[in-house]
Amino acid sequence: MQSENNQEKSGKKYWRSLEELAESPDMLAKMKNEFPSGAAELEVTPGVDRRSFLGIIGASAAFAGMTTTGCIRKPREKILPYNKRPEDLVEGKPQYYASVGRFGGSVFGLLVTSYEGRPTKIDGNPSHPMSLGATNTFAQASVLDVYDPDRSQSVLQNGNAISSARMSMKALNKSLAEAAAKLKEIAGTGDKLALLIEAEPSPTLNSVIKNFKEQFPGVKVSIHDAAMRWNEAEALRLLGFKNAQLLTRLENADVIAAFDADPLGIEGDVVRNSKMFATKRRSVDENGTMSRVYVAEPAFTNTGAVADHRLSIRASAIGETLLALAAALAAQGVSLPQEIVTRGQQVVPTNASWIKALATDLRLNKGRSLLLVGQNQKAWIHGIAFAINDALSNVGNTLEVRTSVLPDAIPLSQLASLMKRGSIDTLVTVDANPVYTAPADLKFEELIKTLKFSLHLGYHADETALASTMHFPKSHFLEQWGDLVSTDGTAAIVQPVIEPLFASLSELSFLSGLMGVEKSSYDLVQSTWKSEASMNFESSWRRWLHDGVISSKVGNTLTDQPNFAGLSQQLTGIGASPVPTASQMELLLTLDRSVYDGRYANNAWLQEIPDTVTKLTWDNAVMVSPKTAKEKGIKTGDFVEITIQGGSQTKLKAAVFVVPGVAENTVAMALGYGRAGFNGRVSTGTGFNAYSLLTGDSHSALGVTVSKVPGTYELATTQEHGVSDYQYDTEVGAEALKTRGVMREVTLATFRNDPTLEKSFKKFELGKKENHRTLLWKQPNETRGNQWGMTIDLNSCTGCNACTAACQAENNISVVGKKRVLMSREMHWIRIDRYFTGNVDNPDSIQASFQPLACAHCETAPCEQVCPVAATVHGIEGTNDIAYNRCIGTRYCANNCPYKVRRFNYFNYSKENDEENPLYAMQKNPRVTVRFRGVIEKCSYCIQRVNAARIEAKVRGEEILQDGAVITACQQVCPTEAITFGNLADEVDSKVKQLKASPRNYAVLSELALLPRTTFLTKVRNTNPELEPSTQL
Amino acid sequence: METSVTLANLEERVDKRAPLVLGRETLSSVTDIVARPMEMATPNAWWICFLLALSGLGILGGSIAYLFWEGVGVWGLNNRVGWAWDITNFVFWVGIGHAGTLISAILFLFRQKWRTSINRAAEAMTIFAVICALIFPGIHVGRVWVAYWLFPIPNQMAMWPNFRSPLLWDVFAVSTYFTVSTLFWFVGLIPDIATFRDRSKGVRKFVYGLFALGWRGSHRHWLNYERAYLILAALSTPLVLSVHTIVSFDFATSQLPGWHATIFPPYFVAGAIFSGFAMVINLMIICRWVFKLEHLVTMRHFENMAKIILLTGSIVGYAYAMEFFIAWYSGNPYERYIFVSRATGPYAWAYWTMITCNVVIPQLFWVRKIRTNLWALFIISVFVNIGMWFERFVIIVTSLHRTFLPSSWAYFRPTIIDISTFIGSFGLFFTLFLLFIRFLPIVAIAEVKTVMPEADPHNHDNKEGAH
Amino acid sequence: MTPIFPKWTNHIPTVVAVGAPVVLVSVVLFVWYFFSPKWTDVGYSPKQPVAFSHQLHAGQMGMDCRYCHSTVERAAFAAIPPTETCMGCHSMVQAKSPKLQLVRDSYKTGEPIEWVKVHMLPDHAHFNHSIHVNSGVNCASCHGRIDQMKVVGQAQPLSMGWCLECHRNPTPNLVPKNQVTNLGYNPAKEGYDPEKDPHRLRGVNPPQHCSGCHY
Repeated sequence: MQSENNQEKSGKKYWRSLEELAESPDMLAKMKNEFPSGAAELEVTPGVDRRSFLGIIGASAAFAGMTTTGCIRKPREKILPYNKRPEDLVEGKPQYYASVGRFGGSVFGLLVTSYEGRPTKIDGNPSHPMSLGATNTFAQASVLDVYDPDRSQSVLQNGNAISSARMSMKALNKSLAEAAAKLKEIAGTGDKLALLIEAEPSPTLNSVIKNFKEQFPGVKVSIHDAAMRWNEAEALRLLGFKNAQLLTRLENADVIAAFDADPLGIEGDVVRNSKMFATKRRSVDENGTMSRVYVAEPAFTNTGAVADHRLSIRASAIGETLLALAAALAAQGVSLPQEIVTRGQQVVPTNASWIKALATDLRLNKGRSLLLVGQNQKAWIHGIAFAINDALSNVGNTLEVRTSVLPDAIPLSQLASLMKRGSIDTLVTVDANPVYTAPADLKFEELIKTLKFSLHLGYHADETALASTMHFPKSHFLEQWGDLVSTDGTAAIVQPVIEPLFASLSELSFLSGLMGVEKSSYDLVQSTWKSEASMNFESSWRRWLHDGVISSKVGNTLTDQPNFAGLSQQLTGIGASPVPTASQMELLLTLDRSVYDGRYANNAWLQEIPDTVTKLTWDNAVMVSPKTAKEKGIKTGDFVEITIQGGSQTKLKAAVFVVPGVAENTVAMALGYGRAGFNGRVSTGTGFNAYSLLTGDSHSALGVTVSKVPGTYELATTQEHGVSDYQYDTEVGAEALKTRGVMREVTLATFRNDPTLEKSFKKFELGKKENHRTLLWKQPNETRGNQWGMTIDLNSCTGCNACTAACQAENNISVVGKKRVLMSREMHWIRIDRYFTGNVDNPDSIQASFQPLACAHCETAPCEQVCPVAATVHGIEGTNDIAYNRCIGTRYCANNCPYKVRRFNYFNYSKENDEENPLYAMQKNPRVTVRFRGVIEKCSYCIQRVNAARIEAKVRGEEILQDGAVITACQQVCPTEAITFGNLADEVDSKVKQLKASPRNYAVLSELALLPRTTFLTKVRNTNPELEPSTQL
Repeated sequence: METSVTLANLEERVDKRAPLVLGRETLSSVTDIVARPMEMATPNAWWICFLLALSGLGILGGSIAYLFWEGVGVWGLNNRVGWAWDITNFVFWVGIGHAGTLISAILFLFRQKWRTSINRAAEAMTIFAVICALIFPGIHVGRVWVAYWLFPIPNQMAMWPNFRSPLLWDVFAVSTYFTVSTLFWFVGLIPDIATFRDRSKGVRKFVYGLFALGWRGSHRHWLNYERAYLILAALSTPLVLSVHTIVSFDFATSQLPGWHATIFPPYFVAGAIFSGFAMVINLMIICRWVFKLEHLVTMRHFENMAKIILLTGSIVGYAYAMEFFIAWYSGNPYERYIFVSRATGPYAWAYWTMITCNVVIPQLFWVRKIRTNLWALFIISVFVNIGMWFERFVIIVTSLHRTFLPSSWAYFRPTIIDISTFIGSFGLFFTLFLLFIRFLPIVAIAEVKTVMPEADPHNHDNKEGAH
Repeated sequence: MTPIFPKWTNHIPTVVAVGAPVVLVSVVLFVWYFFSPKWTDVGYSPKQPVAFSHQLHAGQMGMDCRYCHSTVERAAFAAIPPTETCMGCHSMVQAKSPKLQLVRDSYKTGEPIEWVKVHMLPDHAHFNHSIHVNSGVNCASCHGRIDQMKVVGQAQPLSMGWCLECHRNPTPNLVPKNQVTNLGYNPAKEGYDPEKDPHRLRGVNPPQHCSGCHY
């Protein structure tokens, strides 16, 4: 009985997407359309080839252009040695530099890998508390931005380059001096001058701004925060914390309730949050307390995907739900400000049981729980959340209020109104791109054009650059000095790794240049930190650069009591928000998981990274729930026109993507696409500009009309390839998954009742190794030397894509372009399979599960048997190797691979990429062969790292590598440490060896007796027994 | 007086075998009939057909050139479906090839006299089909310029090919098959070529003379010839079975649901003979009509072939059924799923085309009226070939497009290059075949004469008795 | 009836029967040798921009290889010395020599000297000097008697088969660590046995699997 019960729970039906559920009737139509546009190619533009670029860098030609071309007569190659070899440089050996970067509202430490002066990879700095060695997709991909061929390369005057010739640093400084003079003349004391900066917590920048204020006393400083933290800041102000910010401490949280918040996705200190969150998930093995995650959100986020209980709720209802929660807590005897409670009692919650269960859980975990609200929510909602956290005495345990480093500034909207009134006629924009990212109703472009004089410093010649009087190219953060402070007050130095590839300026030198002082950012940063130095500055400076962390913290934790008076006033007049209908829908605009606010729109890696939930590449789309879609008669690929009612009648025509988890009668859209004003070779033609729908401070709008318009649009997803091409048979698909048990998942209760999980998954365990003693071929000896293996913990994976990005950076994986993704030819070595579970008609029951999948390095690899030329064979250390240059490209191995992880170079992608984006070649990792047309490639377990480590060990005279001597790129980047790699034959138990012994360990398709070296750890959901039924279907 | 020439030899009396050559043809008139198409002035019709075929060949050349220049990506393949039309065409053409060898070798060993008037053309078809087939494995690889690594050639890398790979066995099997059947065909041609050497003059005489290898028809020549022919027949008989068996290993030895099936070898061989005979019927009907061969290629021949099609077609149908049964019986969820999805999934249209053409339509041959009606024969044979192409397509593509992990299910759509390459291969086939009918005897004269009454020692006495 | 072919054509079969195998074999042998790196690569000694004589420096003066190729023990790549290394001596020695004009120019202008690469491995074969040197493989095993070359040339085929020969049986090419750059050292003559060498911390087991070099 019990076991059956388990079976039922564990073997729940999975389906991967709506197309498995929805009958899309255009199957036949598509079926007839047998011959669509033929093979798709990226346009090939003549570019500079890799060799000459390395020539520029001055590295030896020995590392140049690695392709698998086999030519009979070798070309006459040159070796260009250094003229004077830089000290501590050894040709062919990478160098590592500590630095720090700001990615999507989080600042964390970095470790940059560089070969002969070319930065090739960015990783997390283990000694930096906000990174702890991990990073995220943005950080991984940002190394490619250095080599972005579309980065701004010259000063623009009214949108035109001042000279066609390649700009020299001298020329740049000259025109900067001119600009400075003009600014002095026009701005005078700066009464009509405004300085618009991004939210960059940099002490040196602050001091420069201080000087700037001294020079222009009247200057108005405005901050445009891409991460939209103004609501949170405002809430804290209401509570009496001036210029403060919140620091989350998930490591202490046993119950996490996220309301439209995405602490594990793109909000706040994602990397650190994920690290800490994971510790509370892994603890399931030590029978420790496993955290429980409640999420109420309008559309799937990473946090929502890993949630144990997810409520699909519209953004506008978050406030009242929180009020109801407050009331529920009060009912349970938690003391909250009276005003909030009374308001809460007035609300009639739609999900009373859910709220009640949550309230109970929160109360029972006082001081060990955490309530989070999304940046997109109004200030008073943040206020209530804080009040509840305060009442649960979470503040100080799971939540901290810390002083912010940002200078006091006026919000963008205020700046805009000042400009409209004409009380601003000169604007200096640093790094921000308001013309594109500002709310549409501000009409920022027109405003900026009305100004007398406007200056812009930016990495791209973007929308703002073209609108401004003058634009100056900004250098990449790997090319400049600076400093940044994290939320927790950890300060670090931004250290350049490469000379600016093009004449460009850092924010610091730009601003000081405008003040007429030519000061290098190096000096500026040093002068900021002189005082901090303990004994002699030089030594501590060197230490800071080496560690990547400055010993003393900046700012402090604010412990004074919050004052709820201000908040209570805000609450007056707050009632239940209008419920959206099919005709009056709700609009939700979110930051994008791939291009953020649009700043990464020209980054090919990020454009091609499949979205966590939709698996969509190269586009954003109008996401609607299946139910709503059915009601409105729209389906994936249809065009709709979204119209915002009221003041500005803004319209947008965009394509629909039907995906579960979106709140009813809500349309969700990611920002950052459709950049018409900026034609980068990558960004052009991708997605739809959702900013044109952005009005006011909030990223959600009510009373939006969505109407179907003629025409369809092809959306390229990496799962359900071309779903719109054929009808999916729900029953078969679901049945197949149920019987296949590819993705394994149990509830915590089940796991505790069945600690070995044998009862739960017996039927899938036909392939247990001991049942397969009679294998056809002789197996490699797995007991000697290094025997590599990997485990992936599905329990902590948040599907954040960082591994995919890291792998792409490490292994020189080509980008193929949208048309080829449509043909399912994407090249990512590690992909993240996403499976939906639940019943589509009951949105609250829908859950998503992730399964990162790369080559599993089977001991009885089917690919090896069939390769006619022995190009893919087994290595002595249990790896499944490919000798690219032996491959003749029959694709037989790919056909025979049950995991479908092998990727074929249908065209000469690497060459095309280099011709398309000439500079990209400089990012290539010289330790990994660049693949040529017509060969298969796949995950190699980062064999180049294995070899490097082995050689170092052998030089030292050791045979066996210590555990941790080899770290794969995906393992290194993973913010939740879900991926573990190591030696299975280790005498002293390696981490991976221990994990393989865990009862949660299982092999996908084990019944095939492939004996894969990569195995998975069963996902466990810590569901609340009170709510169990609603989520288990 | 003979009533209907065509039907006269369908009935067979117990005491007297039905004649295989009709219309009171004499030894010399047979020669004349076969010689006519080669000795007449080239008819315009031939030129038109030949130009058509040539342009087809041109398309093939163009497509392949483009393929080599751009890469395999010009086809509709993707990372899930790594083989589609390329291998489908390969198996299709190899299959076509089988009938020829079967007719010339196996039927020869079984002393099936009726083979004599069709084996020459059938063998020619075999060779040309195998040539078409050989193209596809050659061009489907990603890096053609190193395709020679498939052969065990000593090299500086100290590398051998992987002898465990069925693809390698293919290389050996098909090339052996090609060599032997060409040799077999040529040996059979020698006496006839000699005949034409003696009938023609000038350059033709010289060229035929070269290939006649000095045949003078002496008793000793005939003795060696018969022995050689018998040996080669014995050699190629196992090949008929081995080639397609090994081709089927490409799939059977893999582990994909829908491929990994022990039934494949017999099922593939049957299918091959099935499609091969259909092709022979198509070709012979045309030749017979164009070159007035009614007396040599009689309705009896067609009926026999139709019977073989009926037999093999039923075997194939049985195999389809058995695949489903085993899939269900095995209890293997992947197998079960793939077969259900074949019949109901996105490629159901291909599957049902296959069933209709291969299983349903050939059953019409139970009716004698149909299997002795040239039009019916022709049309049904065309259907059979369409069906057999789809069989390979279904096996290859539907098995690949939905494998073990539902996350990597995809759909394959051919590009224009896929199609042009396939059409082009027909261009190549017909170019070769047209050249063949123009310059070589499409009926084995020497062999036909052996089945004529005149070849019977007692034939003369009967004549005497009649006086 | 006049015969089409003259009488002598009767001999053609015999001639073919005898000739064909001979031709076949010779073609195979031709390709075998002349298409292999043994022929195509060995002896490749291009003219260098500066007539640097290893015979003089390494041979007569007995300079250690590592004086110039200093990274050989630490890195995959035995770096060509930077110009400043040359100038270290040649600012005093032969300071005026016209042969060294290019070197002096390079030192002044900072432009690197464009040496021509002699030992070229395909880019997909990752060779690492440090591990070979540290395993006690004598430089001469791959590079030949550089110390006797006026102009450096390729001494060995550097083909995969050739690499494997040693990777399958390294012992004959192993010398004591301190003899690695002693190009004349002959382990067989010296009766050197790596097994008995106390300075060796580990047995030598070079990789023979693909990913040992190709990745």
